[in-house]
Amino acid sequence: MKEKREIWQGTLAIMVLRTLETIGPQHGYGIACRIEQISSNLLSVNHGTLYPVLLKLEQEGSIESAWGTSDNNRRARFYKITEAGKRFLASEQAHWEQTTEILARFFAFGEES
Amino acid sequence: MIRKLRRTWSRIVGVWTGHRHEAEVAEEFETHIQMLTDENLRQGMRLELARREAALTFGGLTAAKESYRDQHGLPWLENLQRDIRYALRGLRRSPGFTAVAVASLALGIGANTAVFSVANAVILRALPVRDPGELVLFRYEDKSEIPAVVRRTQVGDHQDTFPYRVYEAFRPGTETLSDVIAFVPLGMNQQSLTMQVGGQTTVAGGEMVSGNYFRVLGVSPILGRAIHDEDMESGAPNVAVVSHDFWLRELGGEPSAIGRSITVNKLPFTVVGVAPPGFFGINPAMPPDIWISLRDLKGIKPWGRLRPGPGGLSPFADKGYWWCHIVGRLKPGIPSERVLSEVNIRFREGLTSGLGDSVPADRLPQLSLASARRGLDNLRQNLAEPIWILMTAVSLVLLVACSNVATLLLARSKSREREILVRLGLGAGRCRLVSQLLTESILLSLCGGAAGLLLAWLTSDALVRLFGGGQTNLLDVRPDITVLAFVAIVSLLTGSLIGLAPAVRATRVNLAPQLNATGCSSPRLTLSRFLVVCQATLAVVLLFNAGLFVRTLQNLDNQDLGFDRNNLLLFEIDPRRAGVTPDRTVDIYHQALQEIQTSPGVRSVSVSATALLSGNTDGGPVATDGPPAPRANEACLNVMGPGFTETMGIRVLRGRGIDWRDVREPRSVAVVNEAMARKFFGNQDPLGRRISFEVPFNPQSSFQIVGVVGNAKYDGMRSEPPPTAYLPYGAVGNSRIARMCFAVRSTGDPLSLVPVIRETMRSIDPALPMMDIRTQSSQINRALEHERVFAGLSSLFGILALLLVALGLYGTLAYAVARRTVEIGIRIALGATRLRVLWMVLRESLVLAGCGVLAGLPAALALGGLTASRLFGVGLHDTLTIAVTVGTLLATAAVAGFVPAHRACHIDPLLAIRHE
Repeated sequence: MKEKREIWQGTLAIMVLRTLETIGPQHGYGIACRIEQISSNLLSVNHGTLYPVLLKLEQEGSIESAWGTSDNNRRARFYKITEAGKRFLASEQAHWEQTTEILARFFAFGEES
Repeated sequence: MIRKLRRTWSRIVGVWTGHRHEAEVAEEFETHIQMLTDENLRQGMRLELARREAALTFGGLTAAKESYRDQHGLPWLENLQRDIRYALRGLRRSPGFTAVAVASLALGIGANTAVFSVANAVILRALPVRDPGELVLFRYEDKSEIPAVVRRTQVGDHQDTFPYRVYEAFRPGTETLSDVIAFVPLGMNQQSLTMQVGGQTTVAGGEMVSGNYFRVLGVSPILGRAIHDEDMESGAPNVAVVSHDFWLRELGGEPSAIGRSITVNKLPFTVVGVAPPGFFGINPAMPPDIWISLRDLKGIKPWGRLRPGPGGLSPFADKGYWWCHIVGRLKPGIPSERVLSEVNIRFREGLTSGLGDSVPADRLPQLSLASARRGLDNLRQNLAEPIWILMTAVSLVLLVACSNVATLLLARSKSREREILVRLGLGAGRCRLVSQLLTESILLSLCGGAAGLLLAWLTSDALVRLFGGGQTNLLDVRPDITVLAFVAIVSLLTGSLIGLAPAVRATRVNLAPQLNATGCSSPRLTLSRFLVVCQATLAVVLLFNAGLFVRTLQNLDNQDLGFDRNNLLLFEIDPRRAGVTPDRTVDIYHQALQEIQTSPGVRSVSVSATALLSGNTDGGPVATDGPPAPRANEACLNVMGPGFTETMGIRVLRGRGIDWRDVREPRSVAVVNEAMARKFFGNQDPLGRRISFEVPFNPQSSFQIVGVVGNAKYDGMRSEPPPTAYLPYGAVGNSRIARMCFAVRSTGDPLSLVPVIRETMRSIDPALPMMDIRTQSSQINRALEHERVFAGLSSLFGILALLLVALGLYGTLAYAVARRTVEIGIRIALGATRLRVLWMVLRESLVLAGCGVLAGLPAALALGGLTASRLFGVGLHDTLTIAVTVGTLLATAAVAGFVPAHRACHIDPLLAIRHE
């Protein structure tokens, strides 16, 4: 149970970091919409689960946050990826690519035989 | 890794910043939902629906907040913080309970800390030198058969002195020892040197050390330089390094002290260095004031005596004179067997070099190496055993205090039963409740520990005075990091110990709900009774031991010493230090004796080289004119003036004592005590026989026995009077009578004679000071000081335990009476007499104490084996001590039980029953 949550948090964290890397500083709502949009609504998450992930990333120093004003003039907290966050994302990306590649090979191997 | 650390740190910080964040998070969540609602509205939803959809998309708001909070701080740390706050509030609410508990624990922990700081200073702390663990002290196994050509005479108490040539053999270093140093004290105490510093005369203690002493120990002077190898060469200028203490005391603590000249026993020296503060050499029992280089100097007497070897040899050249302490530094990582075999080969070579093949190897002593991490351990050895005994006693006191506070906590948990029940009912985890109750007890013990530390710190000065005797500077009992760690660990252990049982018990309430219905006997009360019996048991052990030690002290103090200790004034003079030439020394003694005798208030006067029971003795191997003994027989000797036995009140059993003609002519006669007569002559008549202090018997230097006197204690209060020979001062060499102790028997208060005698002495020689003035009884008190402290502290701990037992008994019984109010009320209503009720409660107190006695006495007797060696004139099965112990405990139980018993018998039956 706990492991599953950690894996989920881990993938969600990567999505968040990638989102912030591509679109720049963004508030929680923006990040959630963006993730839904990219995943073409395949991934429907409770927006509330995003916040513990944001907190963890901030505690680890991957992102930082500051209060600002949104497009429609609401006071919102904006999150921004840090240099450490970018480095972490790059290494995670390499890791994921390697993992998926290996898994893909295994699945392909099964199909061939 | 770094990311994890950063996160943990943020979470720790988050514990304290949580409240501020919570508001921000709520706002952030609110904004998010608002944005979702806006979007839904834009898509044409009605406001109400838009709201609901937004909330659904966001998910459970509370769950999100909770999950956020858990991640934000550290839940366990927050719980702990909350528990502490809760416990503090609880303790504040019952100040009486808190005060009693903290005071009990403070006494327990404080006493432990105080004794431990002494143990730490005396037993555990290492020398303040570089890598003290590498230092080893040379010792040897004592075999009396060591041939006289190898060992003729030895100084020092233990088997740890060697001839100088052993040091020379090791000086170049060996395969296993990187360096070897030698040092020799310049006297038996810290007043053995007369020094002139800037025109002022002062006394001091000193050491002669080899040139590598400071370098090998890794001690660098804070000013000037250390003693070097060059300083050992003959003809090198006389230089001295002074201790930090001496520098402050005598040299004004000024840097200009370097280069100043001082005289030591009339020999000029230049101060070249000041040792760092806290460096007391290697022998903690005799911290030197000055260090000088180890070489042959006229007027400087190693061990405070000048006894040239055969043919006037200096101790350096005398092969048979064993007098140097030797300490080596081990090379790291060499197994001890290899070290031992290697140093023993070198040791034998050193001993036999120049002696030819005349010495069989099996008659040479074996060298052994003792750790010198803590220095020469005479003081430590003497104090170690009593300190460990006290440490045990004081930890028992702490156990009593623990069980006492546990009893209080039990009673308290009873009154909290409802609260705990409600919380359990509401779903609180047992684990959380136990940890909460434990937090409370640990908080109590930490408060107790802090108070105890304060107590120990406040009493540390008194402790030093108690334990260190006069040598206060060598016991540094101020709490250091070891002591602090000790307090912390003891407090935490104490807290867990006192809290665990009550906490587990308190949270088990729900398992036996029927207990709450019935008001009478509950297992909780059984547990607290058990705890009270435990306290009584421990108190019996402590009281019994204290009793034995008090009896020991009494026996030591009141024993027959073999002489009359009352109305005796003692003082010493050292004519040679006042510049009197050796040929006049004897005349000075003659004159002083004659003139003091005629002073008013003086009944009689005499003189001896060594005062009885001063801690010093003289002696050596003795031979008689009979057939040679199979092995060397040792005896003590003392040099005395005419009328010594009469003045001291030692009975003359046969023959006569020493008289004026013996010292004046002089005649080579001796008086021996009974023990000596029996040891050397058995059933033969000793009168007219001859003894010599040279082995084999040497008629030229022998003494004829003219009298046998009763045994008198000489070396110590505990030891049997040793075989002793008394010689007249005129008939022995000058070195033995360089300093003598006068004994004046007075008609009234002995100290009132001091002014008169001082005047008399001044008229004989103005430069001759009276030194070390004291009475014989104060000297005996000084000898018993450690025993007195020991008995006093043991009694104090016993009384402390007794008080705690009284408190425990009172608490338990008062609580029991309160719970049984109704029952007692009914009993009285049914016709039980008040006396019967009184006895019912009192009996319980006595039964509990009685159980303690039954359990405690066997325990005390079993533990008594550990302390048997400290006892004197009293056995373990001493009926008086047992009776007093049992009596005291039962009396305490009666007193402690009386108050609740009194309350019980005055219960108004009407009120009690109506209350139900």
